[in-house]
Amino acid sequence: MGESYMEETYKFYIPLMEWMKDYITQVQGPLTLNIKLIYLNTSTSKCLLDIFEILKNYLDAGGDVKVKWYYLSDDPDMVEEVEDFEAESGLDIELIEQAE
Amino acid sequence: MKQRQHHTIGSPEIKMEYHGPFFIEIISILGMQIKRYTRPYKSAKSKLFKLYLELSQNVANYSEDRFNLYGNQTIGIGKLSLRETQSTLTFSTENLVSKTDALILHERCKLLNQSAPEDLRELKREMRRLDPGIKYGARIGLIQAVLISNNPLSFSIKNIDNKHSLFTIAITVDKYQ
Repeated sequence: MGESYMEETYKFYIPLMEWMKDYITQVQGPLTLNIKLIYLNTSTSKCLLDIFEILKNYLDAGGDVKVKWYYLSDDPDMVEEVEDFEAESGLDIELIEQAE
Repeated sequence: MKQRQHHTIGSPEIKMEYHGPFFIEIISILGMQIKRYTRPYKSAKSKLFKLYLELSQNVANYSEDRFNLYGNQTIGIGKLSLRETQSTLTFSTENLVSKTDALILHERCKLLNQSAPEDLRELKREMRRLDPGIKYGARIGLIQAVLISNNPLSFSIKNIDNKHSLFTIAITVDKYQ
């Protein structure tokens, strides 16, 4: 499990988004995004929404997309956070509870 | 950083204090200490870590008192403290804000304290759809802090000079909730 609160968040996430776009365009294979974050700051949540938008577009175009979000059993707030991401992105996010 | 162990009867014990620039490295190191300290509080520890980060990043991003890094980069200066009673832990931060921003913050904190959790979640989603760079328009961190703590924000604004005020905010978590 990790945390995401770096200063220049986009510098970290933009290469990941570029890689996903290239993969979707060139490989067109299945994509599973596994997220294991115990804390994410506001700008990270914005980056994740951008990533989810890429995945949603791919899903709508017929792509095989899965999103799995791992959270700690003693952190019920994260469940609400993921529900908000689902509502905003239109993606189904599988919640996977983990013991600490 | 000061770590104190003394306790005055009738007043909360100060467990940690930091006053200075909120470098990302400092935030990370203090965060590790906070994780270590809050480990016994099973249900509250993740809330406490998240609240710590929300408040410390608010100071780093929005304090009017700035420390020059390199190039055009600056980082906010302010104060953070962690206080403990028998049943609660409280984080508080203090930082300078402009007089204009102080008024906006005052209204925003009042609004957040009066809002139901579902309304706060909707407000957070709405703010997230906006440009995250919009200062005080967003302030998603404060919304998130109220949602996480299940307690109202305690806040005050003190006049400093013609241009600035001192904004103090405190958030309490029940240790054994």
